[in-house]
Amino acid sequence: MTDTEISAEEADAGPGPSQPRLARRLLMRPEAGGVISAIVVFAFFAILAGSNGFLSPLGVAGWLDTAAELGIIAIPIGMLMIAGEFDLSVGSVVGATSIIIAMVSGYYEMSPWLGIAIAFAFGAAVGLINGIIVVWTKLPSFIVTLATMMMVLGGMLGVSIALTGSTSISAAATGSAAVLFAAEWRELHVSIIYWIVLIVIATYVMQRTPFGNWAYATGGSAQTARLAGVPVARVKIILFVCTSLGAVLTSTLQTMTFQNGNVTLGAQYVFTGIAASVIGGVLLTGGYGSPLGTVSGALTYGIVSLGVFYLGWNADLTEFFIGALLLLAVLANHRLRLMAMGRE
Amino acid sequence: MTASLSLKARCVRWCGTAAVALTLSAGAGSIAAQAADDEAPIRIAFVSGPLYDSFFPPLYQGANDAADLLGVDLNYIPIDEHDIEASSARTMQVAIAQAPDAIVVGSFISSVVDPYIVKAVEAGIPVYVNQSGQATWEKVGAFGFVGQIGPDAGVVAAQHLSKAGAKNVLCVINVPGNPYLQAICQGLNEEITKLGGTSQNLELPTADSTDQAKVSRNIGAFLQSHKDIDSIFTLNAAVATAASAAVEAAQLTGKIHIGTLEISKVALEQVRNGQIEFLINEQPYLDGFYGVLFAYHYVKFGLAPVGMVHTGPSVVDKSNIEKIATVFEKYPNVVGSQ
Amino acid sequence: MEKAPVVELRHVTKRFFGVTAVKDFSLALHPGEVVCLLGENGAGKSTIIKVLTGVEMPTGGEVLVDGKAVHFRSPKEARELGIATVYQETATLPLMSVARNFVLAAEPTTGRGVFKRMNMEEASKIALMRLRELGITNVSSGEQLVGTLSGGQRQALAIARALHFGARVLILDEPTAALGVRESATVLRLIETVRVRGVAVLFITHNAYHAYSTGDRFVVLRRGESIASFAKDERTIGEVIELMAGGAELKSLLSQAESGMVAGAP
Ligand SMILES: Nc1ncnc2c1ncn2[C@@H]1O[C@H](COP(=O)(O)OP(=O)(O)OP(=O)(O)O)[C@@H](O)[C@H]1O
Ligand SMILES: [Mg+2]
Repeated sequence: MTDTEISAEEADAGPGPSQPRLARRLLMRPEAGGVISAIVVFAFFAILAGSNGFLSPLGVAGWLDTAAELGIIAIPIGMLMIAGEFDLSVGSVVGATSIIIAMVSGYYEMSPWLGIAIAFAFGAAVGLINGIIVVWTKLPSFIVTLATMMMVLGGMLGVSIALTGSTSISAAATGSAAVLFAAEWRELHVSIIYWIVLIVIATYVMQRTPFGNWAYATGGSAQTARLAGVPVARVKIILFVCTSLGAVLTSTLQTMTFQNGNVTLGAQYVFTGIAASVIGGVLLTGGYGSPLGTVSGALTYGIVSLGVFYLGWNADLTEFFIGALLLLAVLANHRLRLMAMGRE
Repeated sequence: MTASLSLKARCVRWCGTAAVALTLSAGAGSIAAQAADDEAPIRIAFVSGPLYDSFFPPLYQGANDAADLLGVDLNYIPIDEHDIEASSARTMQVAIAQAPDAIVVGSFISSVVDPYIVKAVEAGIPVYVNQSGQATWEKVGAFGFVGQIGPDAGVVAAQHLSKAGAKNVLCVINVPGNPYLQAICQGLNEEITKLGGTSQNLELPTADSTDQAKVSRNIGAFLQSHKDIDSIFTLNAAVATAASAAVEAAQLTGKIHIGTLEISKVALEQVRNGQIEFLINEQPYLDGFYGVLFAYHYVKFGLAPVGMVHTGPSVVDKSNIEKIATVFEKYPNVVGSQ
Repeated sequence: MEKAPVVELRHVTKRFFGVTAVKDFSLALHPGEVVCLLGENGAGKSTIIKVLTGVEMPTGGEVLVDGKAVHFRSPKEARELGIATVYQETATLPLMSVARNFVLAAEPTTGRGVFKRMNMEEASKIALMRLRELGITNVSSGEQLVGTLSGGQRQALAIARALHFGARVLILDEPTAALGVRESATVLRLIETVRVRGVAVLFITHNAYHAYSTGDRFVVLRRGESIASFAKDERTIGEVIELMAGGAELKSLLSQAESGMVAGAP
């Protein structure tokens, strides 16, 4: 048995000793599928519906705003999924905190900031509880957060009816809170700024910090990570809290903008948040993906969900398009991942 | 590598085909319209509810029928009810971005939609408000309103139930948190109180909203614990059918009166055999048809009905069931969803 | 062996609810020595590892490190004293890069405060250097995903990592079980390299040939008890196979040719 024999065989298995070409290297990044799908759907709608308003400032603002609001929620969801856990309670946190903000600012006519502060505290508490239950009981987070989702939704419905007699309350967006969370510039909503800041922070954390390394390891195999010395429980709890806080931020933006709190607000984010992550290349079983991918997924969703309207086709096909796209993206990501693993 | 290349190749081919098909169909459409009328067709964006809600298919049908008759280029943009605030805003953005000749909009959350109506009017696009938004349409500069005023349905329901002897009405809200539905039950409450009765609301859990059997059991359980209820008003036909099943299971048929918003095949049959007393018809087909027609007249001639045009509440009961049932059979999606 | 043992088990017994997994077992691991722990399924090999690495507390007897009695309460305590285990299944994360795997939970950083970030160049450099020291020269980029490495290379990475973080005792539980001939050879060569560097190795395997080609000493376990303990030159491989499999029963199953092969082996 000699060294040369082994290296000859292993050279075909891996990318080999020579540096892989740039294109190939880019294709092997986890966000490759997501970025490609965002570009493809953008080109598709720009060509077919560009002259029909899709590319007008208002049109662009529409799908960018949608992508931003979804992205703010989806980025932490994607990070949590990378660490191997799900959070189904995000949608109910959006609804519950929108009611909190509306109740404080609208119904009780106090400062919106007080409502926003309570909302963030509430969100952090839900995330903390999710994380602690999952870590302690070792139950699947799918079940745990399904339970907390129902509890948060039902509980807030009850509180809201008991206190105000309604489940849809006008919120008062006044003063600095309105500026910070409801400002618009030529239809471009301020949420786009939060989104971009979040992209930068999340990418930095996941790619550049030890915490990011721990999150990938935790999702890759919690047992291996634990044996290596990663504080797996802490990583998961922190990410559960971040996920809930992302939901509260989107809720604050929407409640201040639409000046209306509604228990059912944001219910769709359970699905669209996970869809954006998966389109963006996050592996459902954890350990692989990137915030940039999730961002591309959110952008893809924003473009498709609004672009369909500009085509003038039967708009109720929107869900069909997104479903088909999800399937395509998952298949493509699967192939790309196999390539990255050198199996293709 | 090969996989991704062939995928790309396939996409290019597919996208190409789709593009050609679309150009062809768009071309054919505009030629046909020009044959009918020498001018370019009037473009109307119609923002309203989704077709997965059984209320809207007749509205959609009415809008399309009017568009076909008038040679209007209609783009129906559905709001997603599961994300109603954000979706109401986005769909209006889309409508304005398309720069149509007119917008018809169902202003379900007027605090969200109103600013966009203002924006559209500023951009020179006339807006006609449809179905909901009756309180503010004039203020925000829309040129008219066609539809049913929510609480009116509750008022008419209260009058009918009271005539049948109702004293204690249960109003079933099938989408918790929906202000439009809450307003109808509120209208019912005020009218029945005037007529010497009372009413209370039952909000069904969100998770049950499409599960008729569960809805029926929920209502049954409520009746068990509230023996004084003598009539039920529901806000969609499927819930009414579920309620009548609950009443039957509790062996209270004939003792509890049922009325509902909306028309369905089953509900019509139940009116005929007496399980349901009456149906309140908002006539969504007219909402859609008149929405397009009035917008067309306004764009083309600058003419419009003055003030609000009411399409409901009209009532279907034993007295006019046969005519409605015949139309229902003969013209799908005109009276109600099949 | 003149040097003092790094770690030693003295009269260790481990019972689980009535099952005695290990009974009155003693073992000393010396620097630069490979000890092979042999035995059929359920003999108690994994249990011994668990006691050594702080996963389980012994029911009786004691564990000594550098001659001092210790009571591990967690695997972390054992690891801090230089006792490392490499499990084949869970040693590495296939979807992460070589460098990221190598530095996991001990990432080198630069910058301070919120700008304290991972030093990826440093991580790559260390990982590749440590791999080269173990004779793995054909991994050229720290960015390569571990999933693209061969089974042998992956074991090497895990072992390199353990050594880098101060392992003096390396425990390998069936590291060649799922590997082909060539990959197994890589691992056996690794064990040799590690031994030369003065690490104490406890090598657990069902494969007598693998054991015989690398081991200095052999301990055969049956139903939790040590039934034989000998140096390499004291027995032939045929005798080792016999001991492992429970003696004559297996031998009678071996064909003539196989018996000949066994007898003729070095
Ligand atoms: N946690 C436990 N609880 C109860 N019994 C246990 C436990 N762990 C091990 N045992 C028992 O102790 C005995 C020794 O098990 P051990 O895993 O040490 O065997 P092994 O030699 O590693 O076997 P293999 O070669 O199959 O890996 C077995 O009878 C096993 O059933
Ligand atoms: Mg074992």
